[in-house]
Amino acid sequence: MKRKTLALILSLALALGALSGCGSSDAGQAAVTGNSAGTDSETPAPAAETAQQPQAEDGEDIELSLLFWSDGRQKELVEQACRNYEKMTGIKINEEVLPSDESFDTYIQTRKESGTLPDLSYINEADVMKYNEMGLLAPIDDLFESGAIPEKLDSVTVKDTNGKVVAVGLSNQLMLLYYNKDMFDEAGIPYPSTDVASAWTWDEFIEVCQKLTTDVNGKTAAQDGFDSSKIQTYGVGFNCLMAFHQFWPMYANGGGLVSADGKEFLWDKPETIEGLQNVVDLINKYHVASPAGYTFVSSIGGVDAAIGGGGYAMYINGSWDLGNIPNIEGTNVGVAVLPKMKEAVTMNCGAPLVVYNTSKHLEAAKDFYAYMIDPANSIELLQSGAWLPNQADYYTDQSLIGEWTKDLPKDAVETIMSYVSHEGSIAQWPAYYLPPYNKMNAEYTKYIDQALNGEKSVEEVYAECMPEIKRLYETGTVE
Amino acid sequence: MKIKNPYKKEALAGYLFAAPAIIGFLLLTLYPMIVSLVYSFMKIDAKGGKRFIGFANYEYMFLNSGSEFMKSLQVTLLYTLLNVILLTLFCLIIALLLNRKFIGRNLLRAIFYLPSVVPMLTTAILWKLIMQNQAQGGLINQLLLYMGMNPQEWLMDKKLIFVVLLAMSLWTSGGNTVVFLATLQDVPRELLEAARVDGANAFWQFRAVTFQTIKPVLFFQMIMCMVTSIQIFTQSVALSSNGGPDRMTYFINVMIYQHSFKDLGLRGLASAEAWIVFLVTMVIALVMFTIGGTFKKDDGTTRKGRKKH
Repeated sequence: MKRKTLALILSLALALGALSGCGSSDAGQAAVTGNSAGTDSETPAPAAETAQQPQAEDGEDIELSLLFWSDGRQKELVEQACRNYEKMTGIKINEEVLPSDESFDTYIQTRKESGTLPDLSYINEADVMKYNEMGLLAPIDDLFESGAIPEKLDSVTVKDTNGKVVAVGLSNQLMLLYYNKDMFDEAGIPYPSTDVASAWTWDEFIEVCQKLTTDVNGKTAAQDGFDSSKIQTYGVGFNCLMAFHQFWPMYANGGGLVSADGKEFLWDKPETIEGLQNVVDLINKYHVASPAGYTFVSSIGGVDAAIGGGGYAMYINGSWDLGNIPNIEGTNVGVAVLPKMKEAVTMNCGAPLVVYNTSKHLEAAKDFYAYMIDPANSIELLQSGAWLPNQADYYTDQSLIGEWTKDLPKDAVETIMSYVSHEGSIAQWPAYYLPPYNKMNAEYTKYIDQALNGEKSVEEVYAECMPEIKRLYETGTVE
Repeated sequence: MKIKNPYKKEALAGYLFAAPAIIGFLLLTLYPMIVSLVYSFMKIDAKGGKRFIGFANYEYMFLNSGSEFMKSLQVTLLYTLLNVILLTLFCLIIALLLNRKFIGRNLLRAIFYLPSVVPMLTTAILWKLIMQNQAQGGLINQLLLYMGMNPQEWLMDKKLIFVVLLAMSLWTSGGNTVVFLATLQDVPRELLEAARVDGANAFWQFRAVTFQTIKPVLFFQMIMCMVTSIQIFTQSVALSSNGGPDRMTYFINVMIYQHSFKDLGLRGLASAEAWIVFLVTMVIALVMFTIGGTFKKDDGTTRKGRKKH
């Protein structure tokens, strides 16, 4: 009998344990349905409840949460910036870091579902319009009007369809040409220019690529008897041919996805097709670039892998790779402008920071926002080359330029300044401003590899997919 | 009364002990399943608004030209077919070899099991490094080049990517091999002995004795392998994240994930897709069970064979 009582008690305890587990998940569900304002589970903050006004005069009671991603060093720098802000204002910052991969967007969605969105978060370029259309982003025009945020680069300022600013890129990133100086010296080829005005023409670029591509027998692609099936070193490598990695040649050839104001569809224009075909020809016709797809499956990685590894003479990747140049030992790396087609154009990106309008302390959150996107507070990232400044005066004010460029290679600085100072040489990645971008891109993804692997021509693939992509463009919305 | 009461109490205790599992099943498995079934008849917009649209999601999947369901299902089933056959054969052969008596057998057993301890994500990254382009330092391609052969675009070619996926699958199949090994210990020695005395060669010993004994386990392994193959996800995401090259790794779970969590307003469609996959898996399992059942008609001799229905 006693044993049975014991068994009963034990089983009851087990069952109750399970039930209490469920209880908390029920509470979570209540938060989904009942509460859109979001009580942050990370900051249960009785203080937040007692502070009736978001802008408590002394600021003591306010807690803000920031969600960001990082690959290491950046984490320390962001945390340092948060601590500094706490000291300055007395506002408590709860920062939360995730790895910088695909999981980030999913995580934000989960937080949204459970009604616990942070006050601020990093966000992928291509997701700004999505969250904006979901009605979750707070416009930040007032920060510009009040002068809390100085003039930012147009190319990283994200506006909604009504022209209201909803986000600013934390950094500005440009596609650049990295090259192995030693290989150029060996082949007796002059270095590419750091000036947009004297960028290589496409034909010159192909020629250089051919001279620098070698097979196992040491023959270059410019010589007879070159065996294109046994290539040892490629003239040029693309990290991948995805999104802006692939789009810049379209703009360089006078085409593009859409016009800068988003009003005209250019993706099916002959210039666009030719621009991309030029790049594909490097891979499949001239055999001077390694195969690349609209996917990360074969992405090369950083410049340290591409050029440091000795497999590529030139490498086209984003400016964040400047931060990897110091990792390369024994090889001299140069930085230059991209080759031109009809024009010399690069494309930019740079993940934005946003404020969610579900924030309990919207004003305080916006103030913190202005602080976080101020390049002065990420100066170490700028100096390392991982970020380029998002603010206009960092490219014009000599003392500011001197400060953030002091450790960067001279040719890299020249290249960046050349792009910034030449009107029209930086195309803004349409993900920033084109609401239907994501679904257009998803449709494009279904087809484009067939053109990149040479199975079909770009023109043939575009004939198949562009009618639908144009239709998606015309919907004008994210969903 | 006095007899009945203890029974009731015991039953109650039993239910209470089972309660955590039952509640877990109801809340974490059955409830989401039912909800997803309901969702599959709904259009769920970006803001979470839901409305019933009948069978429109299912219609879209099969009839709309923009739907990728069939392509995705095709690559998934192709992978499943290849993987089930290769994996079963591979594991069986390895298990048979490891079951022989030789020096260092235990060490080899451990070595074959080791890769299955590595998480799939790590495995995928590792294999990507091994298989990539020679200019990027891919081991296999550099080896091919060194031997005077042509390097291959393992990761970018839409056929060769399957080689990579299957190689990864075989590399991590240590768990299955161990199960086979354990089963092989069960093969009655006296029967093998008798077969040998009757003049059966190695093949016939395997065919008439070993195979008959391990058949139920073999069959079970194939079903489990089929189910996990249909659910392939991590490899694809770790390699390409968007189904590249040319959608050959756009497996069904990758698509469902994409529709459910990345695209806007397709969560209802994703639920419908999940249900169709569930049904497809069930049908295949049923077919396999039927085949397994017919297998078993002549199966009175084995110990395990009788236990299986």
